[in-house]
Amino acid sequence: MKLRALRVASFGCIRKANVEFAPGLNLLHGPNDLGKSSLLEAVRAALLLPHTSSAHQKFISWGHPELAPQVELVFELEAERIYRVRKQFGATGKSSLEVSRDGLSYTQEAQAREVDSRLRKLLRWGLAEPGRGKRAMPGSFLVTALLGTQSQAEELFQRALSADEDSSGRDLIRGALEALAEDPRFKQVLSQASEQVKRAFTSTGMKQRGRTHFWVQLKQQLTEADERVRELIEQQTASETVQRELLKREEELAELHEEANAAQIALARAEKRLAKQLEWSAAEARLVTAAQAVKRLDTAAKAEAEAAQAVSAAEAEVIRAESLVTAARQATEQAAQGLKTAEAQHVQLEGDAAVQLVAFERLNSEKQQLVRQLEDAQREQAQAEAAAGLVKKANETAKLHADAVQRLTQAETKHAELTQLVTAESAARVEAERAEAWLEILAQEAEVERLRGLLAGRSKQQAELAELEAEISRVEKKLKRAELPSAAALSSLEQRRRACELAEQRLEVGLELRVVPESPPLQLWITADGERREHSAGEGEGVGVAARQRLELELPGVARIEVQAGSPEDRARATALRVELDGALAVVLKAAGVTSWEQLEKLLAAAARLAELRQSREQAVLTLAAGAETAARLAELEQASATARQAFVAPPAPLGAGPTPEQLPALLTAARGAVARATQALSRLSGEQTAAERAAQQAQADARVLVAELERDQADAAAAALALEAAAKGAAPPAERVKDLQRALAELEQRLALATAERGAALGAAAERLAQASREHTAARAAQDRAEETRVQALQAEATAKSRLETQKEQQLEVDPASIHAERERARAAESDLKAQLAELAGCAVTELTLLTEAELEAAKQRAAEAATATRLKQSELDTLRGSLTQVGGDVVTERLREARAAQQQILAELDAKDLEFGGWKLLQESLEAAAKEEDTNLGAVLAAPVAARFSELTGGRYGRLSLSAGLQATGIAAAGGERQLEELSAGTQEQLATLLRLTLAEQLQTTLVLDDQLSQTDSARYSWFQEKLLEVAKTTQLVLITCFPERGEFLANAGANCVDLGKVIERE
Amino acid sequence: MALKILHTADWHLGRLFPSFRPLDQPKLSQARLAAVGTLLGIAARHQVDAVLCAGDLFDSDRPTEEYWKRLTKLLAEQEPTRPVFLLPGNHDPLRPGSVYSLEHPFRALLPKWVHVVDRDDFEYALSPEAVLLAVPCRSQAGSEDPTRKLPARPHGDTRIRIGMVHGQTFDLKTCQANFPISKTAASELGLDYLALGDTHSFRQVLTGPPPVVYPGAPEATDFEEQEPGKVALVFFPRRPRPLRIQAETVAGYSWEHVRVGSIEELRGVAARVDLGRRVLQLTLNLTVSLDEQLELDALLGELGGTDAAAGRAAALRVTWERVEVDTRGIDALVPELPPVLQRTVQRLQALEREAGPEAAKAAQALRHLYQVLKRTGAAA
Repeated sequence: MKLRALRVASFGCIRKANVEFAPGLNLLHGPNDLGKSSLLEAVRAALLLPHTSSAHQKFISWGHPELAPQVELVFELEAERIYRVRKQFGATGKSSLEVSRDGLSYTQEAQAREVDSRLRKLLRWGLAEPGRGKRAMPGSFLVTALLGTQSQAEELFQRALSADEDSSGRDLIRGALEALAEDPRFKQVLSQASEQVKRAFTSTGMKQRGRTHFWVQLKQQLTEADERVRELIEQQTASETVQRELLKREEELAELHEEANAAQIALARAEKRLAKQLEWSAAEARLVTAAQAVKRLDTAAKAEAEAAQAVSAAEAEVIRAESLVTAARQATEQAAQGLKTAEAQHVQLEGDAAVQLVAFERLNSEKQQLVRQLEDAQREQAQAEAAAGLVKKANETAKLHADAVQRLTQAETKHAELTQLVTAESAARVEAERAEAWLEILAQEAEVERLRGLLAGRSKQQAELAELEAEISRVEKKLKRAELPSAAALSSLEQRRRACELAEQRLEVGLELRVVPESPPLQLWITADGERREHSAGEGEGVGVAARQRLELELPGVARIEVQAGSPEDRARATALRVELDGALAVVLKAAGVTSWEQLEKLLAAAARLAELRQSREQAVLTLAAGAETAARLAELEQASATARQAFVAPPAPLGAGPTPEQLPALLTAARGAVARATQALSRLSGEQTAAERAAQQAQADARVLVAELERDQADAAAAALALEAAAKGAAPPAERVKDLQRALAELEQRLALATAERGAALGAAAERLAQASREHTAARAAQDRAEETRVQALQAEATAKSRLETQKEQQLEVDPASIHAERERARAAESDLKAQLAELAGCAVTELTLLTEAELEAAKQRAAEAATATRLKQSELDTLRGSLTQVGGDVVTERLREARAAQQQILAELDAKDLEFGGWKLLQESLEAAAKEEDTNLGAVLAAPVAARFSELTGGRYGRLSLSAGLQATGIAAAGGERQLEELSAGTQEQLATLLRLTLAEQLQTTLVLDDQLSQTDSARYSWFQEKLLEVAKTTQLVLITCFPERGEFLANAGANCVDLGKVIERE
Repeated sequence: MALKILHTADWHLGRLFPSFRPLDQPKLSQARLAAVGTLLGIAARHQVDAVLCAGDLFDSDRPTEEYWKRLTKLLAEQEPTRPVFLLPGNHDPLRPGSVYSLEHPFRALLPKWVHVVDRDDFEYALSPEAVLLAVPCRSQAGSEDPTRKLPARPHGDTRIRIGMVHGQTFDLKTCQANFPISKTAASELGLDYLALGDTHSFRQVLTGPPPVVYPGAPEATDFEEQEPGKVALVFFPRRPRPLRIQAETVAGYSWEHVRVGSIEELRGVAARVDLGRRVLQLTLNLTVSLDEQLELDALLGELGGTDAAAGRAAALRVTWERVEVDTRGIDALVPELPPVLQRTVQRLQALEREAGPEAAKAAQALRHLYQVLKRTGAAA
């Protein structure tokens, strides 16, 4: 809030006044008794006092008591929210509240009683709704802080926020101070969440309703999509209804067409059936006549047929018998013939067997001869193959001999080269060994130098070790009597300490007792840290009791009341934990032989130091021991070096008398290279020599080769002899001959086996055929006899039947059987045909046939006519529906409905997504705020910090932490190493502290602060500090300073403050 | 060659795409005009004798001025020797007040070589050897086969006879109200080619003779369509050689529906290099961690683009079938948070565990919190 203008008339000692305020620092100065404080009263009355209140009596004009006091205040709550409140007090009083964006044109917001109610809601200063019973100037913590009078400095420290009539002041301060107290990360998250929530919701949690807002636009889109879908569904329904009707009518029409056709067909069939029925009756009459004749004829014909059948049977029997006889005769002849043939064959076969036996013996003889020839040929073949092998082997041996002679020559050459190289390699190896020895001597000398250097620092290390020993001795002495706690014991103590602190922190809740002493008198004591102190309290005064303090109230003769913060359980727990901690600590301290924790910590530090020292000592001892070893090693090396130098009497030629150490590596490398090359060549030649030696061994086989050559010559001679022999015989080479003979033998054996088998089979078959033929001949003769007998019997039966047939024929010559037969057949055919036609026309089986009547025929005609009429009507309906179809949407509507539904779904999905997204932000914001509330921010602690910082700055660090309760009551301040009560401070210091508290509060609330003659008891140095601070605060907050010391405002005026000489703007009565 | 024609249909100019984001809707609408420009270019390149447009050229019979005016400009750029025939379909039927009615300014602006089929006995001699016969749709629905109004080949007529109608050749009962066309009509009427419109996929109902052909929409309208984006070039050689049909692609965009079951699959889609001319529908059905959820948002933003930055896909439609976020990832940040934020997390997690609408909001709140902490580095 910022004040813009104040106009006052007939207000106490002021007849009229008109003050304009600047946004920053305003300095209102004037002499005493001018009415400066009345101006502040006027501001308070404008903002707080209902015009009906009796408290206005103190503002009644001194000069014109008949005039009602009037006040008009213009103030700005936020940008473009400028309010103007006007009040006239007294019996004719009235109030009005107007609002403006530009401060020029106002619109009425409230009037009469509504004005104060509205103002209190706008200001949120902890004032309840104005009631009829309230007469005094209303007060609250914020009223005191922001518009406090000169006398209210102390009141500010004692007035509790919780004493306000309404919680709005507390909420306003909490809102401002929590921002001060919040964690930056928390603020960041909350800020983003709030920003997102603001995008979607109003301050009352409703969805934003602006025309361009996405909620509204999405809703609008959804409504349109719903409407579109609804319209399309209607169109589709209409379309589908027409289509369904159309299909239904088409089906019905098809059925009617079928029915009409069926009726027409039924009628035609009935008419046809009637005609056929007439034909059928005529045919039936003819059939009766014919049937009688047929019956007679049938009897005669039956007898004739039986006779003819008998004749036929007899004739057939004769024929069969004759044929049997003929066949039997033929069979007998055939059998006799077969017997003769079989006998002839048998005789022939017996002759053939004798011939075959002779041939078989001849073949056996041939076989024996062939076997002998085969054995001879195989022997010859073996001899020839052995001779050929000998020749081949001898050739190979001769070739090997030639190669061996050549390799032996090469081996001798290589052996000579090898001897030379062995000599060269020995020389190079000696040179290399000497160079390495020289290098080793130089390295030993360098090591000797290094060790000498090391030993030089040994005396210093010994001195350091002595110091360490002395230090260890001191610390050990110090720790000798102390028994230090283990790490586990320390950890346990630390845990107990944390638990104890946590339990005590839970008791960090103060309380306030408001005292309204009546009779009997009340006595109060406050016990803190075991010290009991009496406390005096005035009427309505709040007594703050901090944590771990106990308040005792004694009503003499009535009761004694003890009040203490925190629940008894928490207190008991905290006490128990403290006792437990103290007990555990005492045990540890006693064991350690100290009396305080700090001493124990020093002992622990000393123990740690001792460990470090011991480690250092061990290190030093090790270093010194190493020094002794170094000395021994030095002596050893010096001796070795001297010996080596003596041994190295004559350096190798390439080294000369004094090769420098720099030259040595190059020389050594060259020598080593020569040795390596010689070794490599030696290795290669050794391999070659070995190969040559092997070749020499081969050469020793010469003698054996000579023998082989001799054997070869012999084998050649034998082979030549065999070849000559074979050529003389004119035969094929032995191997081929053996093969031919083997083949001939096999063929011969095969032929022999085949001939033997064929002879056996032929003889067996001939004997069998002979036996068969004999059996067939006997059977044929028996059959012939039986056939002759049957033929005689058949001839007799034929004669009998023929005689009977002749008799029957003579009897039938009396009637005309042909005509009767023809008539009967016609009648039967006509009857059968008509019955079938009638049955077909009646649509039933012949056995169920019923006759059609005239009435039935008429009914069929009627049905046909009705069906035709129904068909015409249906066709007419169908045409109408087809016309309707052109008026509906059809498939197009279905497509559009599909699209519209997809669009509707997309909008719904988007709406759901927005709901979820911003619902999530809102829930996050609410959760953050709830969590922050649960964190139980201590407003007092938050506000106290910046106030204390400024106060410390003002007092040059004399005062430290300021204690403000949750209700912003000041309970003490740290000074000179202890907590001091505010009453202990001087009046001036109290006023300065109160001013700083008010400044900080106004700064946090971003609202106007009126300081009426504040800092009057402040020295110039501190006043100067305050002036700087006021200018600093005024950059963001409107300040109104009312003072009777214009000279004190000079600095501020020069710094740009709005200075108002009240003497010029106030007209006194 | 006796005759060459270009057969097209179902342009659906002026079609809106309300199920797409406002950002993409105009792009898809304008693409249809571009496809018409392309197909007219093909007609010129192949020097066809006529362009047959078999219905549904506008999405409704009363399209906005923007579309019919721009169409007249495109048609005016054609050579006067190449007649263009516009057939009203069931989406843009010929009826009083429609864009094809004589009193509509569209008709007045059409060049003289563009002919609207506005009579049931429409007949046009394409050459001395060829004739076009066509019947317009006069309503959105109808149960009569429009080919019944086409005349049968007169005795002795040896010219090439081309029929053009709009309707469905399906024999299903449900399609009987959408101008059902008999598959045998072409042969019964003695036609050499029956040019159809309605189905948005390129389809030869009968390979002939005579062929019965749907060229399909030159630019797709839906993800379900098979092989849209084509026109038919028809070559009629001298008899008795059979005619030849060639499908030419004119579409600027191809439409693709991808089901995404994991963040890896989405990464795969985002990594594709062929998305520039692709209209993409993503159906998301997956579970993601909080980090992956941030990545999911980023990938979708990258694919779809914003008003300020073009997306990698030509157009994007996302269906959130199921996207579950595993919020347990926030537990890793908790130890580093101030107590008040720790308490906030605990409150939200407790709410999330409870059933009901607040659980979903709590999960969302945790996502927001995680997002803020990650973006601002406040958890560090």
